[in-house]
Amino acid sequence: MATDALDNVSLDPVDGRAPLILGREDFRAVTDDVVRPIFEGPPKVWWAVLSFALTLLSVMGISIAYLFWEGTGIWGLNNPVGWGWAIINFVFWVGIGHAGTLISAILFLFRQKWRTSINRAAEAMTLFAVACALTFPGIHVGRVWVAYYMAPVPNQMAMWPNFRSPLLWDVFAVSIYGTVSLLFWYTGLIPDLATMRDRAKSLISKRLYGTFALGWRGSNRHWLHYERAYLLLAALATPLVLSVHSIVSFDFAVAQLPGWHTTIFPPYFVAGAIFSGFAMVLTLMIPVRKLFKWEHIITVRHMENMCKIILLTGSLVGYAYAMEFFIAWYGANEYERYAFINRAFGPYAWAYWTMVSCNVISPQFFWFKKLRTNPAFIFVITIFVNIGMWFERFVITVTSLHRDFLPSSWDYYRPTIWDVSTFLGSFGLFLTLFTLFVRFLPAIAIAEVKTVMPQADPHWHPADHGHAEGEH
Amino acid sequence: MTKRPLRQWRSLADLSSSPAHVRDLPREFGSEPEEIAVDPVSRRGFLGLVGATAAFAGLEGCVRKPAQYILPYAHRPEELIPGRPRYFASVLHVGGNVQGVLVESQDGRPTKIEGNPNHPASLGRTTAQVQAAVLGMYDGDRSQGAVVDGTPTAAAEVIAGLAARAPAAGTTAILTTGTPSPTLTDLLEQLARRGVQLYVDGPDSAPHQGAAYAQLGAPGVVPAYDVASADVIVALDSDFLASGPNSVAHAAGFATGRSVDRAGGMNRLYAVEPHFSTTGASADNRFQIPASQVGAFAKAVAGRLVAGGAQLPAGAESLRGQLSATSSVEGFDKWVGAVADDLLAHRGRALVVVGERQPAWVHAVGALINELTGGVGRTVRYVEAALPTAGSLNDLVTAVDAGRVQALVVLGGNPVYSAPGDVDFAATLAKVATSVHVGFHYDETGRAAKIHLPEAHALEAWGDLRSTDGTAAIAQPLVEPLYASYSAIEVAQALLGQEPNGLEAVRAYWQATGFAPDFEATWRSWLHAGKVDAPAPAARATFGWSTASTLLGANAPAAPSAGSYELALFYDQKVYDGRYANNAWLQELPDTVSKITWDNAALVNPVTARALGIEFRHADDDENIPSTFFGGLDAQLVTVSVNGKSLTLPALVTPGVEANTIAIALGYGREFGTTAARVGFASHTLMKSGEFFSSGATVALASGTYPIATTQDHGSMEGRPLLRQGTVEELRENPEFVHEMDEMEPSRLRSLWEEPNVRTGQQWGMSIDLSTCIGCNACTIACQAENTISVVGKERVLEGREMHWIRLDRYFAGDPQNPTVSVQPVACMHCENAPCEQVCPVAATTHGPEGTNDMAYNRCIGTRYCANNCPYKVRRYNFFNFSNENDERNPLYRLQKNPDVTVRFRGVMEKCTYCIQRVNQARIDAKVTTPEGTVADGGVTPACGQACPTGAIVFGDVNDPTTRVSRAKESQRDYSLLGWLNVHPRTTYLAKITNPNPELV
Repeated sequence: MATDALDNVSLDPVDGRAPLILGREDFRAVTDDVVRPIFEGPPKVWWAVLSFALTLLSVMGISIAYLFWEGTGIWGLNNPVGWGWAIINFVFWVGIGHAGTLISAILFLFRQKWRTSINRAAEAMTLFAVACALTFPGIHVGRVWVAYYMAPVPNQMAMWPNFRSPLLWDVFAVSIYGTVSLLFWYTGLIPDLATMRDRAKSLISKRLYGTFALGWRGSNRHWLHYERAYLLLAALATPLVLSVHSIVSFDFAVAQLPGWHTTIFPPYFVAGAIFSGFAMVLTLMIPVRKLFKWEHIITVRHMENMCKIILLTGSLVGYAYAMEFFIAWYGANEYERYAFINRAFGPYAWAYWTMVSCNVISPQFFWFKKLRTNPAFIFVITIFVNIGMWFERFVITVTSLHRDFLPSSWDYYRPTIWDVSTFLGSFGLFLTLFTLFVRFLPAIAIAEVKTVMPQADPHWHPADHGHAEGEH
Repeated sequence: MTKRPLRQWRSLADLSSSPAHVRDLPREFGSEPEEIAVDPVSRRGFLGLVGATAAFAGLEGCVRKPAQYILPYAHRPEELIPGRPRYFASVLHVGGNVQGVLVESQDGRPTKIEGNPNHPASLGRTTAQVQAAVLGMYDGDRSQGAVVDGTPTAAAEVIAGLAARAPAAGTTAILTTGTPSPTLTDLLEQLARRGVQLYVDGPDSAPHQGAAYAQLGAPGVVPAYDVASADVIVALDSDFLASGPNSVAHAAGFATGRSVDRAGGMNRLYAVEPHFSTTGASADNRFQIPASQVGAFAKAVAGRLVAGGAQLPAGAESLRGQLSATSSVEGFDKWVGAVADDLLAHRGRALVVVGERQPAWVHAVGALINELTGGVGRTVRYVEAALPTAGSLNDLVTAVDAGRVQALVVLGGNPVYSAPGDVDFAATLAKVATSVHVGFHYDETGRAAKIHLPEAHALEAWGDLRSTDGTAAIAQPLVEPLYASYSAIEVAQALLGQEPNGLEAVRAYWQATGFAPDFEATWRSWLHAGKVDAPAPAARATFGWSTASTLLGANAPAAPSAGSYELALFYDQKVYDGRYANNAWLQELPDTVSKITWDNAALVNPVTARALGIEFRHADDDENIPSTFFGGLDAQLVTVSVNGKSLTLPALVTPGVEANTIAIALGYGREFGTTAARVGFASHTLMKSGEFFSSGATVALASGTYPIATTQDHGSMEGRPLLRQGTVEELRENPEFVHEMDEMEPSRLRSLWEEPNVRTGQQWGMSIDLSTCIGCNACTIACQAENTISVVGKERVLEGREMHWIRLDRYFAGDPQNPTVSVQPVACMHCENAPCEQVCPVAATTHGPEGTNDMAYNRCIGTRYCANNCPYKVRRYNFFNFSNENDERNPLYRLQKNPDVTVRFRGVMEKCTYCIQRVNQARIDAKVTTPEGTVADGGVTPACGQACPTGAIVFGDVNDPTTRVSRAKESQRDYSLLGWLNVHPRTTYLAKITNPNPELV
């Protein structure tokens, strides 16, 4: 593997572009690097992470089992605050998912070559985040055994669900999102699955990879069809990046509660979702690249690019916070005005200022190149962003509900141990899925990475010194 | 070749087979099902349905369904239509209040108590405690059998041997609670004539008032007030509107006088009291003074009246010199002058009511003021009470100590618990050779007595009761006693050596009165009407004022000074003296002003609290919002010491408590009962016999805090026009002032789409008059009884999960030390453009054709989105399986449930339905009886409106301009709560109008 300096964040003095993949890699070496952990077995740390994840997952199982047995009363919900951590976690996880789709679909359409090193893992993250997200609306209802009433299936009551309800829109939006993301991810995996099949030693893995590779042989025809399908799916997935979180935001914006009933919510939620999603991608990729020695494939330049997006979306989110306050003042609705003053200075001020510090202030460090190219520092900041974005949903959900129109109903909301355990448990689900993913599937899109290497340039010549400069 | 069938035909038309005939053929027997039914099912649709049904049939197997057994009647009882309740007239004595009632019986189970419109102390309305009495009957802790020396014994055996154990002779004593029953009184007097000593204890006997009248030469009389005809009412430390005798009639009369258009103007209510009572909360002017200074105030007012030219009654001339008093309380003279002037200006139309808490001499002064203002005979008259002459609890203790009592029968009541701190009644009982406790519970007294005999509930026994206005009524049982038990009348019979038979005793008494020449027919008519149609006992018009000099010679003690506090104890509006402490509905009912549930506390003023170093959040704003992340609503514990006793209890900082007063409710801190035990603090231990307020109390901080469950933490409206109010002057000057408070002009409230809710047919709506709502809580309990609303317990109230469908929002205004308070009943508004309906993903809450916002419980999956989007926060969610928990806690409770209302499972949202079961029943009845099927105005009333003592809640068809509700909504005072949201609530409010004395504002 490459031993060159891992600096590719400065501009190349000759062609103006720094290389995306470092080291003197050729196609075979890339494949070797990516599949090595799968065939050689994972490092010991992987086992530690998996056991930790499974422990958390069992916490989730216990929490949900107890919830089903006893009812939603085990959570801290009360009369004015009908939604608590479950809905917060739902929005949080859906938001996380957005980065994957943005990276794989939108950056693909925009021909952003740097996406290739991270898109596979980011898409997987999307799927796992959506799985976590979908858990919560399913379990938070009072009578889980009739949750299927939300599905538009024919039934003996001759009843449809209520198509006016944003919660129903959610059901459609998130399930479509999950389906399209899965298809997109799987389509992208097919050539790499074939690579895995070809390299697999044991019969069972040969068969499994082979089955899912759908007979891929890498023929010209295959590539032609594959790339067209991938492009179409990217185009299909692109609007979903915007629509899903817009619709999730409708859960709040369509209600008339002061603090929820705001037209800024759809763009503000989408920006927040991308913000949190990129933070989560970085949180995951920084340890993974280190662990699997992929620093030359997922380079500092990749991370720097993502930090720039975090800086942009974080500032957008900050703008949205400011604009909410401005409109609350400018709109001259005393109820809305109170809702926002209460957010910043009421009993939940601690949550509000945690949110502002994490989401608006912490990404501002990324103005400095030195900081946004320091993986350890980036890791710390992304943790803050994750915390901040969770608190954003907490602030929106709880502070608006706990003091609404009639002061007589005002109350304070406090989570219980079961709120916390269910949330931590959902990280168990997420981590378990992700840990298994990096163990059994190529976490870097091998075929796609190769397309951005100098060797993929038709004018590339092995005699040249590593990266493409040829005659254009 | 097969044989062709012979062609058969029905008619000539059939034979001709004309197309028209063929088309009409299926119509021979009327319309075909297809005409009413749905779209034809396609093959694909059918297969889809079959598949889905099969799939969900599997899922349905997961649903827990309780096993139920249905047994039909082998012989149908006469006049019983299954599914239709029957009503029986009876009379109850609850919370010192005698009320004629109609008890609803569902298949032989009493399920709900309504007021009896024929009865003048009820007028068809009830108090909260009367509403809760039905749950009292199904008390899971009620005594199920007699106990002799700790051994369970058959009750019949015990009562048979009672006369032998407690012979009607000189050494036997009976302690009663003062039930105003003519028959019981007659029996007790018979016992007294045989030498049995009679003693009475407890609030029902009104000892202070009784002592005053006895000293004025008129023992055994009670005052009957005509509140409706009074223009000026002064409540001297009295909660006559919401508790005590005849409070429902008082409240109804008060509401009559509240009308803005009343001849003689709107009435004016002054309250002089140390802390908020329900009456004080409704007062136009409230003077917050220590309880000990109320007497001085009364005396000073009397003096001013005499000085102002009021005529002293005959024999009272000698009192002239005694009628003056002063007090160091700020504003005393100003108030005395203003109140006296107002009384003088309304001679003959003025009324002074003195609370039982005040000592006898204050009652005498009150009676004198009513003489001075010419109220006697007009606003107040005196009626012979149905009470025997009896000694007090202290007299009994003296008699026992002196060895004059060998056998003691405690006939009802629980003196071991409720005796004041200076009486150790358990020790007294131990001194008696034979102690018998006749009680509904095997409670503190039951355990201390040698013999316990279960007492029947009032709904299980024959009896009679006389209300303070003189009306008598027969109490008839609804069911056989659930467990072998006897009424007080039957125990008295047994003591007399008679066969215990309540029916015979009551019949014999009334037959002997001679009011009914044709007794059988008259008796039946009395039972049917729910009252005895007999002349009221002669009223006393005069007192012997010449003997009042010593009474009026008493003087008020000095007002408490800083550092030394006055303890003011009061009977709780919910559990009374503790006898209803095991009633979960009452325990969970929020107090009108403090909103406290499941507890009592030392109520202190914010300023006093600060002086004492009690930590609390500022009263102006967030008095109970925790400042820490996971903080609780904890109250500081304090130790109150007075009369040589001390008690550690939480201090609840409440606006509207006099600065040097510590107010504590009585009736808590029981040691008995699954519901009552360990709820609250035994404040009666601080009490000195006969004194409800004691000076010289000290308060010290104790270590630790205690969680107090209140249902409303926030007392300010935050400047929002939610509960709109103004004075009668403001209304006169600007009749539109209520609408000028609107946040949005009605013309600007337009919808984006055509409103789907067209008003056709009968459309239900409600109007709530905030002027007449006194905050008595009757609606809340009535709703709970009618709609089978679960009790959740203190822990869950702390978590904010109480289930009441109708709540009273309480808002303070003005100086936190001496504020005004207003209450606003809030239940589902049945918005025409309901926000909850839009957001429910499964359409479980939808609009009914008659404008109601309906809940399909069976469709609800419990997303709680509707509750989030409800601006009024009236939706209540079953966080746990509350209904089942209630049944498990008290297995008898399920007998009370209304069969017309669905029991809600966990995970289901519920809320006010406008008592849709009553609406449906009324509609069915109307369809049977009238050709149009229109429910007449007043033909249906929800439980809240039916119970409301002041008639503040009016319900009816808003699509018919002639109905009462439509006319109420025509008022210039009508407004919608949060109308600017354009949700078109069907429940609207009439703004609160007060009539304060301008001199005192």
